[in-house]
Amino acid sequence: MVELMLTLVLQRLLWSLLVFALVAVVIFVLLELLPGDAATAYLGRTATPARTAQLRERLGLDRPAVVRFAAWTSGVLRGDFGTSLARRAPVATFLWVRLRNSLLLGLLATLISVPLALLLGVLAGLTRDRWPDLLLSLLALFSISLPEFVIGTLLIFSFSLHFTLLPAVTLVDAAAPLAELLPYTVLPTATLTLMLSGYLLSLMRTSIIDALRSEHVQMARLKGLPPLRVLLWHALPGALAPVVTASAMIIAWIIGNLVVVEAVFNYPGIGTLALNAIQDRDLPMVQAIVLVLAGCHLLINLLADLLTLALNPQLRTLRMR
Amino acid sequence: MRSHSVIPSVRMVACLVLTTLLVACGSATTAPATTAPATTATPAATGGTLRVAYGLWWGGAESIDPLSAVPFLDAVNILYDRLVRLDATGKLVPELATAWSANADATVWTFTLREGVTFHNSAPFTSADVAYSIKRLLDPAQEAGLAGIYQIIKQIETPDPRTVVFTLAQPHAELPVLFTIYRAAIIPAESSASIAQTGIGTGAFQLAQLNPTGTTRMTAYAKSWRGAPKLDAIELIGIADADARFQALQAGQIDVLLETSPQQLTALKDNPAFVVQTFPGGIWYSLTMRTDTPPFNDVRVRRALRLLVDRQQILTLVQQGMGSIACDTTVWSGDPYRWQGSCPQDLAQARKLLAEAGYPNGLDLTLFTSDSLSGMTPLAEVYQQQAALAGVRVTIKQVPADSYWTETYGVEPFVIDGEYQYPADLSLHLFYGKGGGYNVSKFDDPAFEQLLAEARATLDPQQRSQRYQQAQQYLLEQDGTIIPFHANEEFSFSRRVAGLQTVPYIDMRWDLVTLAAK
Repeated sequence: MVELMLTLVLQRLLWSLLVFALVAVVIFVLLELLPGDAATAYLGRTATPARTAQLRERLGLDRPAVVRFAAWTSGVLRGDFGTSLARRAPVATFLWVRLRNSLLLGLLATLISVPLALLLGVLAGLTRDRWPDLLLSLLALFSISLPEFVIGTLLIFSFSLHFTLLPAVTLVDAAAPLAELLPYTVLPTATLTLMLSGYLLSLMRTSIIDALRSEHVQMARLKGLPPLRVLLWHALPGALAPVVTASAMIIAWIIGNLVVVEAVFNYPGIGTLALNAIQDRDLPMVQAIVLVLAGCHLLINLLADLLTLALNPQLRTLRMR
Repeated sequence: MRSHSVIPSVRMVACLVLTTLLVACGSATTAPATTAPATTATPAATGGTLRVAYGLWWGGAESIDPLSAVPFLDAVNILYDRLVRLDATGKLVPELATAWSANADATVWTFTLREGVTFHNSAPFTSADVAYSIKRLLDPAQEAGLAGIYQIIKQIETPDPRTVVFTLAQPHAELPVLFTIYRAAIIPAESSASIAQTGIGTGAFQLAQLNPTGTTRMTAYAKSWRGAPKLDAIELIGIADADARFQALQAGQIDVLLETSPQQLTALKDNPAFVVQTFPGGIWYSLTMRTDTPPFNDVRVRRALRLLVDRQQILTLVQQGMGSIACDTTVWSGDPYRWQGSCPQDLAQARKLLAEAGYPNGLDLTLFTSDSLSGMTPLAEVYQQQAALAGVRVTIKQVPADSYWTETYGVEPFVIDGEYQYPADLSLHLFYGKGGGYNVSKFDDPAFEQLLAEARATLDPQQRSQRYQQAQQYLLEQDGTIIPFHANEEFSFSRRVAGLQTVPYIDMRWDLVTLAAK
């Protein structure tokens, strides 16, 4: 049993690594395919053929793509992401501190929205079609339908401009201590939380309604078990499994939305860094960012897979039958 | 929502911008030895730190080397001084030079430098620093791509620490204008290698902390030759998103926003806490034809494509009316050398010219644009509609912004361009001159060159002005650049701020600005 679990986990890990490697190749190829390169982006309208050639040589862009890819890969394997083309400093000096700031947002949003949404989702499911459910579902629908920049702007309008309680945009340095950064995380976190909660709440609601209708819950009820016990012991475990898987996907999807949310609030995270790096054609920086984000994505999915396994006895024992 | 605020989009443009300035000079030969007067003064000035939003046009790669390909424009303007500057009325005013004069044929220029000026590191400012800084501009390897404009300077001599003598290859009655742009900032001699880190200049504020993506702080330089500035410090705060910048202003996190879109202006209009300052500027967009490529090598086609333009409609639709109509000149409305002609729409004449050129059934054209600058695509779309009325079928091709300036502009025969304000002489040379760095229409016309050379050799300002105006009129008849309007500049700021002048932000004198206590 334990061995089987281990093989399963190992399998997932190997797959993740393979996907990871593929991602690296795809990023590189895609950036190569774009017209222009770091030298033309840097020089902009002042580019002349001579100046562009000179800069390409200095940046090592005159080497064949395969050579550059090999050099980059071997660097990454040694933990060296190379030097930022536009910023003339190691990528790592920008990357990790920005990742820290983004993870802070993601973590705060997850910690708040998951318990909140699951609780409210169960409540909505239990009060199906009555006013708590209608109210919660309506709210969820709103938060799902509104794009993140609209939510963010509405929050700024309410809490920064109308009531001047919170700062509208982040003005501290990316490397500021977390304590200094915290006041600026409130509104971005709220935006992410609203988005996350909307989805999770709806999912949890549907899932619990389905579970309450299932045969084994009906059976438990017929046996005369108290309603709370039926809910916690019989309905919830089954209902949670699909929500856990989905929430991992939603959290991973949120990572993509960080770019927009961070831009709205000028938050010094990995999203705004990515935006700048893409504008500058800062190839090593973009590659590093996408790779790190892909890593986060894979890690979250891996965790979700394992959690689902743990929650679902049928899946866990599938191989034994 | 960034839309029509032109400056934000000017990320690309900003780079080449030699810059700008308000106007070409009135009298170039001598100037009074006084500094420019402050436009506004506030009694309740109490020092303080002024927070100015910075749009991160280069995504954080900004350099405070004035000749960088990715210049940190706002900081460069604050940290360094120039020999001379143009004020809000377009007059040359002394800065590091107190007087200048030319010989009889304007081939040798002598500049007298200001006494008692020190750099931020306390080193005295001398003629050696001027010679060094201007020589950098002549270097063909410099990133700014301006060497061509300054090649006219053949020799720089420094007979004594207060005097610099420029010997020119040909007469140039407007030479001081070349020194008014931010690229011509004066840095200490032999500081090329370190200037991007130190930012040592003679400006009223000195560098305390450099961080383009975060906060760049510059503190008052007490020993400034202008006297200590009124503010204690200026912070340039990098905010990439236009809406985020606007929200920061509204929330009181910044004090000054140097570019505001029409929509944002509407939102601020009734808010008593803010002031909006709008004035005619020199930012323009163009439809540029390559005069060396068919069908645009036929001057009748160029004239026809220009006659079909309804400029007022373009100004209204593309710029929400916030600007002034131009007759295809790069020289802005406040420049003393601007030609004030008219250029009404004439569809019948346009059709007639096209028929004469061999296109009786109209013409099919492909117009290239990108969303690099916000007004580019709207201009293309309005032009497309107007051209259809004269039987010209325009297909718009939009290409990615990041390769537009390297692979489309300057290459394709019909493109949208956008640029900034320059003094007349610089502007006409840069955009239409034979060796002009930004001559995208590939205009190569001996008669035009002759007019410009004559203007430069004419010492009488009146007659010189006539030549420059003739040159612009000639362009309207001959060249392939259609410039329908010049956009307004729009600053918005907290009511506590006073003393912002009506000049482009890159020429702002921040030492005159004050911040009232809360």
